[in-house]
Amino acid sequence: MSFSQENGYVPADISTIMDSLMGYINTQFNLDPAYTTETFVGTNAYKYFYALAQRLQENEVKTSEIFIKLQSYFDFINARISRPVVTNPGLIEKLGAEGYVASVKPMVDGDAGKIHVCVDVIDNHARGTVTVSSYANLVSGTDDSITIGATAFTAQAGAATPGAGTFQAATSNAATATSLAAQINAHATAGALVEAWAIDAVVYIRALAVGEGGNDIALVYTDNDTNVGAAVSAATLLGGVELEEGDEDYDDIRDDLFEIIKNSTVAGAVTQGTEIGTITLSNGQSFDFKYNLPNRIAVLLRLTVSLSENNQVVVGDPDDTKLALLANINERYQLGRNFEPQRYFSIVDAPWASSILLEWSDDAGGNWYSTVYDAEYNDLFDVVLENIELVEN
Amino acid sequence: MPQYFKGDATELKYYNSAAPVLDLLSAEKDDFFADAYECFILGEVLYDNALSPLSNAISRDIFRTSFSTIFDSFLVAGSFESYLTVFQNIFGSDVEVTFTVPAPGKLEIDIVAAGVELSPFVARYIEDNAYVFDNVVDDEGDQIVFQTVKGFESQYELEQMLFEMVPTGIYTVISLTVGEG
Repeated sequence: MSFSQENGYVPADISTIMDSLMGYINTQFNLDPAYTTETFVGTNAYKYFYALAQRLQENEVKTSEIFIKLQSYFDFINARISRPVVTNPGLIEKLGAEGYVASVKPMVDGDAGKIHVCVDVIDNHARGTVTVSSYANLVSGTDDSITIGATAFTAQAGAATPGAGTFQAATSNAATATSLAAQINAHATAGALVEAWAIDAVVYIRALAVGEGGNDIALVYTDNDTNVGAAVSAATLLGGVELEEGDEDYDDIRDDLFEIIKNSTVAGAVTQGTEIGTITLSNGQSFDFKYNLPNRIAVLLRLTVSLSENNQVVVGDPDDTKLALLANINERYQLGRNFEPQRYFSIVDAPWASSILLEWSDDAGGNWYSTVYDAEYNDLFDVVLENIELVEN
Repeated sequence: MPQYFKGDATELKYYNSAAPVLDLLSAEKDDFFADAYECFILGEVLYDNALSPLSNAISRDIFRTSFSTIFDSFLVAGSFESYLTVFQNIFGSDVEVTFTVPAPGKLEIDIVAAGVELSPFVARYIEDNAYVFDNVVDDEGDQIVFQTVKGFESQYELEQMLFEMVPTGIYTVISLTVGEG
């Protein structure tokens, strides 16, 4: 009644079930004349079986769906296994599903065993860096110092005591950076103000508190003789932004990202980046996981729109034109992608134009380019409305 | 709810006589649909027909109960937690797994497993038309248990499974110690 090789299991409908019951009633009770479909309806027997037949049909439908269930199982499992998140595209997809825009550096021989992930998020804590260029110069002549807030850390050749205002400049620039970061974190005053970590010869410093207050934390390198041993990113930490309603503290975002990266990268492949988090596995072991923040490139955009001599439509408002360009860029461009100027605005967007030219400048207008910017995986053009110039001819 | 033909008392009595059976059948089908992917019988079908990775590498008993969790871990194949999930399914939750990454692209996994499963010796008798279960003890009153091997017994078996799990490009060394967990 329900199964055929051709169609699989097709659920019997109510009238089929009722007709079948009618046939068996005719047989069991030896009815003469036998019920027909027309005479069966309205009888007590019909009445008693009518609701039950509906329930039987309900189960028929469920049975018929077993094939669909089985089919979806294989599709589902095959799809999952064939596209694990631990591949580069899988990782980007996974982060995307969690609401993050990310990119992964294409693999080259030199990066064997390493994964470079970049995520388009903004730290709302103020940050700065100290780059050690020559550890020997830090301790030649009069010892140099690095000041964080109100605390000076003076270089010394010997081992530094945790909690003291000193750091060890010895062995290598990287080792010196590691010592400085450890001393900053161990210091009662500075350690309560900022956190620090070292990657190679660079010490990354960020305010513990979110917001603009961190932008006042001093970051000073004092060269006490004539040979420079280090450089700071600026005189203070920078980039601290107040949280607005709905904003999430970057610390929470960072924790979330480390958890995703831990679960979505292959064990044995070492993640690379300036953001470091130590994550404990379910077996109790801890490993460092890393990612990069984008290399934000401040750009100016110049959109030149030439009016068509055959134009018969109203010329758009300049502000609306700029907004349309920005919307197109936000839709079509993202972290790690090449910046392709001619993709972001065309005559379709400005039907009054005969030609469109979009140019970009990454040196404050010194040079203008209409060519494609060949991006690294962590490059991100920072496009804002006030940096878009509209030229109408 | 079905639509009644008239809904009079006799019709409802007939319906209500059969409804509990139909309710039960329907509920069991709902349970089946909800949990079919975790059903051990599905694991047996996949294993017996060699339809899954690992079905040639691990024992049927382990696969039938663990395939669902193992498939989930294949989504994140090769991650630390996926290894832990699979090893815990195979060797039991008390397995000790230690990872070492000596250099980028290299992974060492040390597994220390008890390797045995203890099953209490239980006997049953019938009382009041129902089975009653009792532990069997020795002459000192201690519970008698049976010991069976759990998980893999050899490095070869382990490497067979690892072949299915380790992503290309990661040089992985694994060691198994059974009986010390």
